[in-house]
Amino acid sequence: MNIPWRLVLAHTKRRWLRSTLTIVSVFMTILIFGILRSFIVGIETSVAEASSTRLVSASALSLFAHLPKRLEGEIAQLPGVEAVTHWTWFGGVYIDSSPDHLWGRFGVDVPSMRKVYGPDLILDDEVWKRFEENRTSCIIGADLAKDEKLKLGDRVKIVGNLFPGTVDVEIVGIYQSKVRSFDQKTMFMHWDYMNELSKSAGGRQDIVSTFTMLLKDPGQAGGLAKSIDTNYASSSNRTLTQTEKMFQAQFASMWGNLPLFFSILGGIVIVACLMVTANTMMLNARERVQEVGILKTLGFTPGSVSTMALVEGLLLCLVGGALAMAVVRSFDGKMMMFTILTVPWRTIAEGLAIAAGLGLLSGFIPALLTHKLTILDAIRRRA
Amino acid sequence: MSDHPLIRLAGVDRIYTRGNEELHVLNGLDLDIQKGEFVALMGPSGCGKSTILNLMGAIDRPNAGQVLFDGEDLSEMNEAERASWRARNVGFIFQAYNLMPVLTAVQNVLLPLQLTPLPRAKRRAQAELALQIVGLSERMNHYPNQLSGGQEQRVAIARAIATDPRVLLADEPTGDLDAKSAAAILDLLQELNRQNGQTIVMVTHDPKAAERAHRVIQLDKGRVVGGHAA
Ligand SMILES: Nc1ncnc2c1ncn2[C@@H]1O[C@H](COP(=O)(O)OP(=O)(O)OP(=O)(O)O)[C@@H](O)[C@H]1O
Ligand SMILES: [Mg+2]
Repeated sequence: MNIPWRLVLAHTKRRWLRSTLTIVSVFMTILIFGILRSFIVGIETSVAEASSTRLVSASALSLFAHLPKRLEGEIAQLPGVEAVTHWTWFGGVYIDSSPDHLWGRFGVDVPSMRKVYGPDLILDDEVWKRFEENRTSCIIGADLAKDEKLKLGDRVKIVGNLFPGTVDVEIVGIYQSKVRSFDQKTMFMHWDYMNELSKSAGGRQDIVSTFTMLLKDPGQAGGLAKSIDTNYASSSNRTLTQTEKMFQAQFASMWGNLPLFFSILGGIVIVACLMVTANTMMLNARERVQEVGILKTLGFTPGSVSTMALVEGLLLCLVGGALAMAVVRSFDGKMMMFTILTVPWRTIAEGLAIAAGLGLLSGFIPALLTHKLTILDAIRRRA
Repeated sequence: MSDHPLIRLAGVDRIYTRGNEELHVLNGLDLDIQKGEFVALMGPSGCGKSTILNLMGAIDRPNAGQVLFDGEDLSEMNEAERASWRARNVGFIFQAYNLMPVLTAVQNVLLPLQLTPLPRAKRRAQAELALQIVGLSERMNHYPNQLSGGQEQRVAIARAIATDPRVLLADEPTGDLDAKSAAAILDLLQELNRQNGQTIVMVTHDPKAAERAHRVIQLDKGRVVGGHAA
């Protein structure tokens, strides 16, 4: 097929403002789609990649209720448990209460933390040792260090709210994660230290948020979870024990219908963009009646002239889509609302496909009209 | 001269329908154009001159009768076949120049060459040659709105002759031009006819223009009412 490419290019240049606006509107649309999609994929991935050799026990009451620390010893005795560790959400205010500063911060037991989660992290032996030996030290994730411009030796002060007292700890290590389900935007400090602090200020003490058990055999997860939960079923410390995978899923379900809402939102934005691009393409087509007549007179076939009408919109939309997906791709691994934005190639392909779809759909009617327009009609309309 | 004319209209009817109304523009028209001829079509407005040109150039079809080009019946071809036939055989020149405003002179001339099998470099050479023939070598990279009306029409002629078509169909090519530019365009057409044996069919209202042709065909209400050698 013979398409006058130079003419396509010349149009795009001549109508640069119109072309730019089309590119920008597709760019924004695909950007919104990409961000929403990478959020949803992030939730899905964190569930899919979570370990099933670890069991997590939390209060059955809610994700934010606590369990007494003393259960640790009892759980450790259960058959099939290789090791137990515990995490406790400290909360509090770092600098100010803006969401930017609301990253995860937990009190942990360092030796057992290392045993249970060590394999997921990249952290030198001597750093683990330094962390373990210094009661007022902490380790932070690499992304957190970057976002908050923190480095080794800096002190982190967090004013408590769930627990009274202000923690003041020194950064002795910066970890990287080997798995997506373990994010790089969290701070870990000594549970002992924050517990002492709270105790001396008259706050809550000897409680933890979750226990994590490393299993000898993942096949035992179901039975073990059941036996823990029945153990405490009648007490005020009812537990809910799940594999980390199920726990992630429960955490993800906290978002409820948000993913669905996001999908609908994305859909609406795409449809709105389609209206804009379709209108632009119709405008282009209407301006080019005479030109279509000339091209056909010169001997360009109806097929190539209508393809030309289709191609221009397609190119603009693809440029906008490609730019947007390049930006979205750079968000890969970043945290948003406690979720690691995840941008696999599939999402990029989806974004480009939507952009192409926008281009094809908006160019479809102009292309059809162009195909049908007879030379006589084109010439007469000029007169 | 060969045994058959280059273009033959035989018993051609052309009826336009507007709503319920039927407009019989051409009624059993017979008309021959010989190879190498320069023919002027004249007649009052609305008598069907442009219609005849459109039929000869395969951008319109007759309701009845035949349009034969070198013995080949144009109305038997489908739309795509007619398009490539036009690209190979016809150069059109319109009153309103009909250049692409977004393309430079040479890019405009290159357009129909894109439809030929010529290699890229040859196309470019051919476009430049065509512009040289019409005397616009210096203006190759100008856009239509940077040219005078006469120059625009020269570019249109260059575009029409660039593919070396077998016939030039010109619909009032001097209609929008002042006397001096018009004379120059007619000089050019005449030269193309004399030096290259280019067959030309030209619609015109201007007797001065018609004087340049070998033959003038007078039309009225879709019929040939007179003809004479100029
Ligand atoms: N596509 C069309 N549909 C309907 N009527 C048409 C169409 N094209 C031409 N006509 C009519 O057919 C008649 C002949 O038109 P044509 O354009 O051939 O005349 P013309 O001799 O070229 O006139 P002019 O000198 O004004 O250009 C006119 O009455 C015109 O209105
Ligand atoms: Mg006319």
